[in-house]
Amino acid sequence: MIYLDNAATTYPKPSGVIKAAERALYDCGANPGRSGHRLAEETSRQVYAAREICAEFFGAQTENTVFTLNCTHALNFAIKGVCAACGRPPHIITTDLEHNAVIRPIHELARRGLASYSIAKSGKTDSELIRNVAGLIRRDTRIVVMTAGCNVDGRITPLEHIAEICAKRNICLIADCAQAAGVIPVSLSDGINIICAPGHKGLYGPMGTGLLLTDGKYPLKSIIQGGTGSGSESAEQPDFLPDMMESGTINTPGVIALGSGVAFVKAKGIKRIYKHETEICRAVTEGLKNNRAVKIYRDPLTERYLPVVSFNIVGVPSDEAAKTLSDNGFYLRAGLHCNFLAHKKLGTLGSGVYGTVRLAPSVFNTAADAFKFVRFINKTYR
Amino acid sequence: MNSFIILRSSTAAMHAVKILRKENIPASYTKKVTSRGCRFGVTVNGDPEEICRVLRKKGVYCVEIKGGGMLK
Repeated sequence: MIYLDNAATTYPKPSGVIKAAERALYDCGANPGRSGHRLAEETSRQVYAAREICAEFFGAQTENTVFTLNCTHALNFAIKGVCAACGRPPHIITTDLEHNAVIRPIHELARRGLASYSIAKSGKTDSELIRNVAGLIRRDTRIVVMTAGCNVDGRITPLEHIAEICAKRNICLIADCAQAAGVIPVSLSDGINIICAPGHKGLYGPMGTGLLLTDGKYPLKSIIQGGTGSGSESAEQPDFLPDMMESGTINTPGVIALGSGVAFVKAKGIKRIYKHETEICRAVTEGLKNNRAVKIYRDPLTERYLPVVSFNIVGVPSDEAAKTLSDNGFYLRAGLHCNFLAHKKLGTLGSGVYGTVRLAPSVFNTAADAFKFVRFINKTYR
Repeated sequence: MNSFIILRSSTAAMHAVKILRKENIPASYTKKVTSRGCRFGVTVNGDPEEICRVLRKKGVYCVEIKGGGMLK
């Protein structure tokens, strides 16, 4: 089996992550931040250690680091939380590269009359994207939500330039780092105000983990309310982080294991991870470039790509191609990847083509995996 | 005499313990149920006002001191 579906979730997980989850279940079975007995204290200590390593990794303060269930959860908290704190319904700008985890919460806010939004065309180059976002800014624009890298074709966005524009206009920049976290450097020190990240992709944590990290510049309101172990005498939700955003018991084994995943990424080094995975993608694109049956969705004008390759076999629906690959031991994801906007842009939504097959390696894939994959495609489809 | 410094959350209490131990000030993470509900903080053996100043310098703000009076 060759697993190349790491943009959906990384697999396998590092042994340290598995051991951390197991240890948490054995040794940290009490509820953190609730009781005061020794087991609860030890569990709280382990959760704090995980929070600290995640905070440091993204340039955040420990208290401004919130554990969520996944990146979608974090994005909903960030987008709706900042929107609710704006007072008047704000104007939000996003792009045509965004996952449904971004566009659906924004669209729902607009449907309820709580915000309005515009979608910036990404074009082919960074400068086009920057120009298009800047051109949509209005007097009531309060939020820009943008992916750090598209989950369909892997295009990396110029977040640092967008951050400069946002900072000058007092606009909150929320970055969807679903694919970028753990693969390319992303930090609040780049001028991003809120980072949303999954724990289970490039950070190698378990599924059911995610992160919201804020620089604290823009106030947030809680989206769900409940028990936090703090301020329990009041009906009011705490107004401080992380408690404001962490109602209910957190996924304790998950977040402790996520801490181990982030430590794994730190030890490997982001540059090395990016280089390794990019080399695998390059071996695949080079190996398939002369095969006329294969269409790869990468534009030569686009400057930077995450290690993700979307492709189709000409005349073969993406799900059928992925099924054939699965039957032969190659596990990839076919379809729209929860991102109809990017597929619309690529021309893979309608007109006989529905979606793409997506290849996404992790640190555990090898050059031999790429070679076997290329050999199979070139043998099967010509 | 031990004092209990109330912080706003369990996370803040963990953060405070770490800071104080780095400063060689003995401190332990503590939960107390007060007349105003559940509180997390640190139990310290020393001048709580001074310890709060140490924490404030590191960005951790004390909410209340038990056994030493309210913070101004």
